[in-house]
Amino acid sequence: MAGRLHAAMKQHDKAVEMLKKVVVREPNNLSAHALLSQSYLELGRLQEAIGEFQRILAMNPEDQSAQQSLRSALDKMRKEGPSAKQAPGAARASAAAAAPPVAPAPTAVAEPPKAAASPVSTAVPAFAAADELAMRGMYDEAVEAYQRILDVDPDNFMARSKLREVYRMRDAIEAPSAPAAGQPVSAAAPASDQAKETQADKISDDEILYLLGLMEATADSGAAAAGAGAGSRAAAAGPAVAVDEPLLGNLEELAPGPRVEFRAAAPAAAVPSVSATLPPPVAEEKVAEVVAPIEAPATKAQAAKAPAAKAPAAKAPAATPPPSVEAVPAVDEGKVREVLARLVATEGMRQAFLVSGERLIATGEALGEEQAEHATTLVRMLSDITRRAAESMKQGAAKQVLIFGTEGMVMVSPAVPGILAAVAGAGVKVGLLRLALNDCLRRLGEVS
Amino acid sequence: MDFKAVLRDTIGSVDGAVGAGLIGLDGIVIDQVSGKADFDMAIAGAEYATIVKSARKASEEFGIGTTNEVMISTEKTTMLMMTVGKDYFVALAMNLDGNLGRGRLELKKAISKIEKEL
Repeated sequence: MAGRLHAAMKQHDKAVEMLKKVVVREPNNLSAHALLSQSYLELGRLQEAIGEFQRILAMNPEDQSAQQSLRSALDKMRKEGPSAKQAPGAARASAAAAAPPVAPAPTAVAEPPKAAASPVSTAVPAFAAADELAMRGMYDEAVEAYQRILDVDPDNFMARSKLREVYRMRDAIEAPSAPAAGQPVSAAAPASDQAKETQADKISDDEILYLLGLMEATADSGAAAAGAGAGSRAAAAGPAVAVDEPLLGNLEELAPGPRVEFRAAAPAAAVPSVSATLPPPVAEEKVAEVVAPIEAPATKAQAAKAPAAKAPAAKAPAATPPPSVEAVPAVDEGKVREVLARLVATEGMRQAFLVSGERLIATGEALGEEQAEHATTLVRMLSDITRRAAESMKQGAAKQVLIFGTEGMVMVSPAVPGILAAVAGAGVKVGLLRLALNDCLRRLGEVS
Repeated sequence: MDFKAVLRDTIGSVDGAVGAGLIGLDGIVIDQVSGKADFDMAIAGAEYATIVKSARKASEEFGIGTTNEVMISTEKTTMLMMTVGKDYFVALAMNLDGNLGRGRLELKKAISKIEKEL
């Protein structure tokens, strides 16, 4: 473990070098900024890490994880002062520590730091590493990474969403002839093209070690003391690992052996996507670990089998059950469908669904599996954001959100057994729909 | 342009209106009028900007076109938000017994005035 961490630490110098080039070339690459901030932190270069967090927030002011991390870094700088951990070449950190407080942070960040580091404060680099693993098609490792985040912060909505996304992508590997619509075209490219890209994108295991090191060093701050466990994976890594994309570009200088052709790094995205070739076919036992996180109508039987298949075959890290969303009362699906069908029968209504725990019960226009998952994520996101907004403004509990678009409207409302959502077409009568929605909420309460 | 005057006219025309604001999608309040001491649009602005942005994403995903309005009901208030161009929205907060239909109408009138200036 010590050797592994040592290797990872040495990698941070290299990582900083290459990531700096990446962010110069791609200043909006959020993943690169997140990785760079982590490397700076590892090197004790707090001032520069803070600068990176501020750049992330400049691009995405609502990134609460970055806000938390920035707060933690500022707090650390204030506490440690000139005695802050110094790494070779980190003279600037010392200068920064002795200097007045750093440039004003965004308002949301400038409040006094909390006494203890929030679980979220470690999540930014952990997220970045997990995202990178997912982007490279290393789904098992990405699952582990997201689960580590959830171990620390079980309510982390984004980690849950991304974990589901990774499960979905692993599912897609099983059915390459019918890739999910959200996947990049290259994921569905002919096998010959995939083979060509895979060959072109070989990188050294150092890159993998770097990512895994980041993941473990950040998600588990006590890893250095543990001394064992992580090294086994490092030892298991071969001399070269084929991945589907270059590590944030610019790896030509670092990759050993013959020159390989790397493509430009993918632009930053809120949700990781597979942006190049798929990894080799997944072993059967790994496939058994895949869990259908929601129960779309079309895959009900399939989803029902998933938990049973998962339990015996799961390897140790993946044995952690998929994150549950919330405790919900048991629902009679048949009765819920009846109530939803009544809502959909309202003039202009297209779809109605109830998100209850990990399940999605839908009626109306058919939803594909991917659509169902997107719908679930969006409905939860809207419900969550609205609830927090209402709470922060002391306006009581959120009861209903209506979104009016140019071609229809969406309604989201907390219901007794979960979250009710409905989609209506254009020209719909708002008052009528609100009546129908309230009636549906009442009936859902009765059948739950 | 006196945005405050437009906002004041709006809440003056709607029964139950307690506040109105012109807010950027970055959460910064450009101007606001509050008719209730405990309702601070400056705080609401940041929260509702997040909601409007999320609503835009939801609109795309659910295939309902471009978001032009969001309405949120809580236990204490109803908030109407209408987009103004790409980067702004106008919010109107109302009591639960407020006249929603009138609120939407007056908000649309206010938007046409504000759009000309922005």
